[in-house]
Amino acid sequence: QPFCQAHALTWVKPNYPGLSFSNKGVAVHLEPDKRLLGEGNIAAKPVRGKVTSEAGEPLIGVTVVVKGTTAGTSTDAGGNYSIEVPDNGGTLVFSYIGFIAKEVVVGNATTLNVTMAPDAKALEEVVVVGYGTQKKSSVTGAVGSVKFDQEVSSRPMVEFGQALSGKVAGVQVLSASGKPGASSTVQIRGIASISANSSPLIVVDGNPLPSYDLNLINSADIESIEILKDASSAAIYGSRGGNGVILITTKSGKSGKAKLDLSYTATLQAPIDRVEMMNAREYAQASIDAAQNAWINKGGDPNAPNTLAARGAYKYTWPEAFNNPESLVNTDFQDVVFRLAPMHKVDLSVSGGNEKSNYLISGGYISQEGIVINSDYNKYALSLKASTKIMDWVEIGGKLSAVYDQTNNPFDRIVEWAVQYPAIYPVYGSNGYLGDATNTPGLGNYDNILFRARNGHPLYQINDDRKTQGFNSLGNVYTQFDFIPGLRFKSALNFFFNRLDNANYAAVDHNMGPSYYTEGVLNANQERTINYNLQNLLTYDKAIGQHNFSGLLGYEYLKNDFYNASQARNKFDNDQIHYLSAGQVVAAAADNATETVLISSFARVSYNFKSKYLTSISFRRDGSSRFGPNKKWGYFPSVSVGWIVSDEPFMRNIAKINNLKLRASYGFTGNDRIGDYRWIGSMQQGRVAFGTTNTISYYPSSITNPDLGWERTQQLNFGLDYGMFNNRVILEGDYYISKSDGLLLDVPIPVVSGFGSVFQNIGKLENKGVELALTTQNLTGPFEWSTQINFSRNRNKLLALGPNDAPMNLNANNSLPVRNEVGQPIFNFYGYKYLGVYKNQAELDADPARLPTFKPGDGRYEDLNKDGKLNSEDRTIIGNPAPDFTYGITNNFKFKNFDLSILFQGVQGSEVFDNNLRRSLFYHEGRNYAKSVVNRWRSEAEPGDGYHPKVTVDLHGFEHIPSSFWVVEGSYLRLKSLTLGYNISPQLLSKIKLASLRVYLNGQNLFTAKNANLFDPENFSGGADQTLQRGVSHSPYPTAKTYSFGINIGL
Amino acid sequence: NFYKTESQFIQAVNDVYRQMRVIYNAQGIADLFGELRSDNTFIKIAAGGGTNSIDISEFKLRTDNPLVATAWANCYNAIFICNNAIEQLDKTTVVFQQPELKERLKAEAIFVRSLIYFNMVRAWGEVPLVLSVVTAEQSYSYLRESKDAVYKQIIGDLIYCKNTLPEKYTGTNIGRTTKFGATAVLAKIYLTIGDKANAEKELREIVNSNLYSLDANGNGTINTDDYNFNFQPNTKNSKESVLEVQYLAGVNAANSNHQELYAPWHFAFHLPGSTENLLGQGFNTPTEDITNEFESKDPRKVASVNPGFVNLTNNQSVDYPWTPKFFDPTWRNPGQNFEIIRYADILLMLSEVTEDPTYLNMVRARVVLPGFGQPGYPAQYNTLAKALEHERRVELAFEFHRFFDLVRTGRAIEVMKAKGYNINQDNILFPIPLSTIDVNPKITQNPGYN
Repeated sequence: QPFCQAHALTWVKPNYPGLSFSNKGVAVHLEPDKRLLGEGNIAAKPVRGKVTSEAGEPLIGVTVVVKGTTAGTSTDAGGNYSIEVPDNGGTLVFSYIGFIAKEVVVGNATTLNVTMAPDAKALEEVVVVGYGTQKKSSVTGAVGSVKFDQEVSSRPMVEFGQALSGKVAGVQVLSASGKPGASSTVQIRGIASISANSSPLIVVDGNPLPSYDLNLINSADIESIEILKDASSAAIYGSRGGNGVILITTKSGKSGKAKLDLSYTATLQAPIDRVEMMNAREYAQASIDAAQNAWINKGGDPNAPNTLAARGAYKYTWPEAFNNPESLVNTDFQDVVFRLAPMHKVDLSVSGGNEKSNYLISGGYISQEGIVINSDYNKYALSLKASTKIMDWVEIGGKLSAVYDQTNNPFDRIVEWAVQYPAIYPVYGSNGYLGDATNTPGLGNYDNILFRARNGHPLYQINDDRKTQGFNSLGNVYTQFDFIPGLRFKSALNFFFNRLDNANYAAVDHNMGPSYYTEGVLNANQERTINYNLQNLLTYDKAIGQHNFSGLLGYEYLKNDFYNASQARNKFDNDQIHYLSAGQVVAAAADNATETVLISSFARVSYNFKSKYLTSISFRRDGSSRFGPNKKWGYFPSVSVGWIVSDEPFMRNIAKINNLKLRASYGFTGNDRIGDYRWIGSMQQGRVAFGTTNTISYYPSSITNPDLGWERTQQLNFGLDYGMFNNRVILEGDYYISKSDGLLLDVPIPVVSGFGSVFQNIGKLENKGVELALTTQNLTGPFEWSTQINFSRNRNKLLALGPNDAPMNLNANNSLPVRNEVGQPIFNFYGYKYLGVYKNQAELDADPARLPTFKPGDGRYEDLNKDGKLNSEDRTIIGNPAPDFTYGITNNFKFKNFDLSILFQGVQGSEVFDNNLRRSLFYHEGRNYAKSVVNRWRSEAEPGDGYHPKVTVDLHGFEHIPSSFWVVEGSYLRLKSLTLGYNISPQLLSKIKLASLRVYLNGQNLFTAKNANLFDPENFSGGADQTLQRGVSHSPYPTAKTYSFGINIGL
Repeated sequence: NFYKTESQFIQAVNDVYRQMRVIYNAQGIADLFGELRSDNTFIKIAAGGGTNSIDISEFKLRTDNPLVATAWANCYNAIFICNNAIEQLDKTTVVFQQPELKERLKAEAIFVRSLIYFNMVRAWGEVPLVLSVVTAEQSYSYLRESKDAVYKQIIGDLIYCKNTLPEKYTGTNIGRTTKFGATAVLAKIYLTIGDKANAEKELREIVNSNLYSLDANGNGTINTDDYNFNFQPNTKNSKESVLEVQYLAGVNAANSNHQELYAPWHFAFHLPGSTENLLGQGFNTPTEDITNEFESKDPRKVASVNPGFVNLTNNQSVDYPWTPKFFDPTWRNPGQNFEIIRYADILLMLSEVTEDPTYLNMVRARVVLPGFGQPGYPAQYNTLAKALEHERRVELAFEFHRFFDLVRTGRAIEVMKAKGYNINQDNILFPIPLSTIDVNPKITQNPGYN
């Protein structure tokens, strides 16, 4: 009896302890364990033979096992095998992926040639699609799938985004920040939007979630994740499908004996890397150079005494201690804020059922300390899922899950300050307060030079208390009627509830003594989201002869209710009691409520002939309250076709190819990820005074646009599924081209209109890409080795922008403009091209485009249009945060009870704006310099590496203008995950009365090859769904490197 | 669905006063051009490195300076608010109980718009002249208009305002722009374009109204106390105030930002009488040059420049000048009003157009200094023009007049060059912000900025 693979692992084994099993890829074969039944044999004789397919091709790597024993071998390149069998002959079991297993009684034979027949059912893996499931063989769209198998489940996951990293072609996973409780960013097939959100829609067991947060469910409850990548599979989600859809299927109970699964993981986390900064000695020299260079540039005498009197301003002087750098302390402030941090994760589930009912109860707990001091995360999850057939044709079921999590956040610039606070200060100074110029011997007057001498200390805000508590619950109840065979009606009510409490208290005491007390500020914020969704689905499956039909008709109503209240109070007496009531001044009290409604109807018809010619058509109509009266309703059709070429008679003779499917699809999706009420021009309230009278004013703060509608994406996808050598080599390839039009765009307009931009549907964007996924079974038999490689490349191009296609410069990342220009990818970094330094006067004189203020040692910038003038016309594209391509390579090995998985993952051709590098040079401010600035230009005789300009405290030249100097390479190759596992053998398990026991070691992010002086080029200084902040790094909370030990016990 | 009742129109027009604040806030256009560029202030060290402000202060301005770009955008947003209020008033069918209220409201909005254009035309020269609410599409066709066209428009508008606005207000309306507020701006415009006859006419009208006096505190005597009274945190719309921006202290009120932005960027800074360290932003730090400009006996020196403060950690004084003119003990939500035109300014202008030192000497007499032409008057200011230049500088120090005055009198390059500033004719004007030209390349740039 065939069992689905995953089920075999999780269900069969514990329920039938008398069965042993071999698990070879897709096909699973179960046979009674004769040894347990007392039929073991001892004596042996050799048997040899050849295994071939029906076409006569030798089959390589067929597993040959003597039934009832662990003795086994596999066939060689010629399909030949040789094995010792018991004296009485016994039975040989031949198994091979994609083929029906065969048992042959040996009897007296010494040569046994075997022919194996292909197993059609082996391909019948089922994947989840929008509002239903489909056999993998009949999928015509582009759907990526991640099963929570041993490898994935061994990752110490706090949120499920980490499961997707490196696994699916076309899906880029970025850890925006390593902060405990932060979600990963998941990007499907490139960014398709400029101003609207580019995050995919997340659907948990059919329940579409209103917000992008990957912490909302416990990852241990997930059975599989499907990612709808192309428009035809996502079009059934209409106006929300434009960024792709992530479908999450949670685990359910299975009929049979109750079972209990317990897993525990202990993890140690460490910062993934360090940002290399100058040590105290190097910093002292650079500071002297900076003061001296500026002084000389000002016309000062280089030999003027290092005194205020002689030099007129503190900034042209330096502390005497710098002349004797050996006397300085050398503190590594990254050591001060980082730590080795433990994490514990426990998951427990009990499940079971019979033919009519099933249930699953699970609970999970995560306790995580962050790698940065003052940060930790706790998560408690509970889930219940049950269904029962009250009659043969009526099923009722539902689920309820609740997650409560608590996050303690450090001050958000703590890492930035740890990177930038100079090594010359001790952690604590001579008076016991935080180390700065005033309490560090020899640095006395530095206090006057550096304005960041105080609140740049990474511990300055260490007494703050910043926490978030979230409670969210999601679930559903449904009833399902099977009226006649194939006809099913399902009605489901889904709900989602989220409550968020934020309290950010900025402390009074900064560990710098009473004269640095600040007043204390508490900002408190409460948010409530209630989202409910009613779904009615009618499905009908019918086969007439070789014609197979499947139809879906649906109606959905969704309402989202959001309320937020925020309060702030100032002036706290001390840091001990920092509740709102303790603040003496009410600084703010405000609230905000929004309502969103989405009404949809949709239909899908799938048809295939002989399971060989496949087609599917879907249609959705959405009405959304977010859009203007003229654009409330939208239509999202799609069509897809597939052809299983390998089932054609003419392909039968090509034995090497056992599967070849061609797929094509085309469809429309939309993006509605904008705020509510954006189409309505709003009036805002202002405050004005007349004399001592406080009164109000009203003013229009935006422009009404009744034509505001969704972004529409049309996508064409061509796919190919190819299986060779009995599916030992499987290649899946997709090519897509998608065009988004009516982009929701904050179009910059002349400010003479009173506004800098207007929100409009304008602009066109194209994403084109190739995705390849190759799976190979390199070795089968006792030593198994399989490899999965995925590769994706996406090219993004703007086809049209606002009126006249005028380029748009956006300044969202606070210093380096991001430019959108027709014919170019979106979000290009924009500025001057940096060419290194003018090493000497001669080089300077030779450059006609030099500015009169330029001196040797200053940076040189390209006069792009060669007009002999360096001006704004010379700005150009200097980078893009989107990669040229991404890839992942997983190797799985298995020998006896051991398994080993190694995942490498990488990104090539992306750029990062290194704001730390910019800041360290641009504002002197007493920030430490990046280590590479050691190689700066110091004089014509000491020109350094020709790249890093001289340092100066008067930086008014081009060095503070956006240029490619600030942009660094974001490419990397990473050993993302390594798992070594051991499954205790069934014999031993039966003695200790356990169904399964696995122990494993896992490491994440163990090694990264990169060029940038960043913690992790993936991190960016923004929220997970802030597209515009990607590639902007200002030393955000870095990713952790983790080492875990885990144990899974099944009862 | 707004603009349906009389009070909603009042609220809509109230917002033009919020816009007036935007223009005269620290780092608003009047500050950036009138004060930061002048020899009165410099950037010692400021928040964010202060590079953008240093570039303005030292005439190293580039076209992408974000402070200039923000000031420009704020001006046009404010103009939009004014235009919208004017248009809504023009087209409404709401019947006002008192028809003159409707006219007054309209004039208030037109006045603020004219005031903004007056600042813009001086800072940028030719500017797009937008006089109605324009759509995004229409806005592309608004290109720079000649200075004459701008002045012609705002002179006409201000004459209308002057003839429409009341001479004074009562109760909770005190602080709205009056007839003479409009007249004072009109006079300054005439003076700026060299029409001394009209300037004199307007100035005399203000003087002859007898509504204003140097007796700011209204106690019947005119002395140094009156000068100081202008800069008290609670002084509102005094006898000396002709045109004043309204601020109010407290949470949820129209707070001012001058004090915090101009206080030293130093972690040990604290206000007099306070032991709490308050980090200022370090903009508009008084130069040594202006400190020396004050005559030794001039009490206005103490009122204008504070040489530093005491670091309470080590009890050492820190040499970091700052102006106490914006002093308000409410550090976080201060509300000191800002006077755009004081009566002293009216008198000094009148002296300038009439070439009669009488009015100048009234201003000097208030702070007990010898008048021009009287014994003890500093010898170096040996012409009335020089005397006025000196007097305007010290009397109106840090009140956003100095650079406007130098440009108006044609003395900017000479004076600034003599003090070591690298200035030429081109960089007197601000550049049109690069972002504006990026969006609409038909907008031209000022000379010297390409």
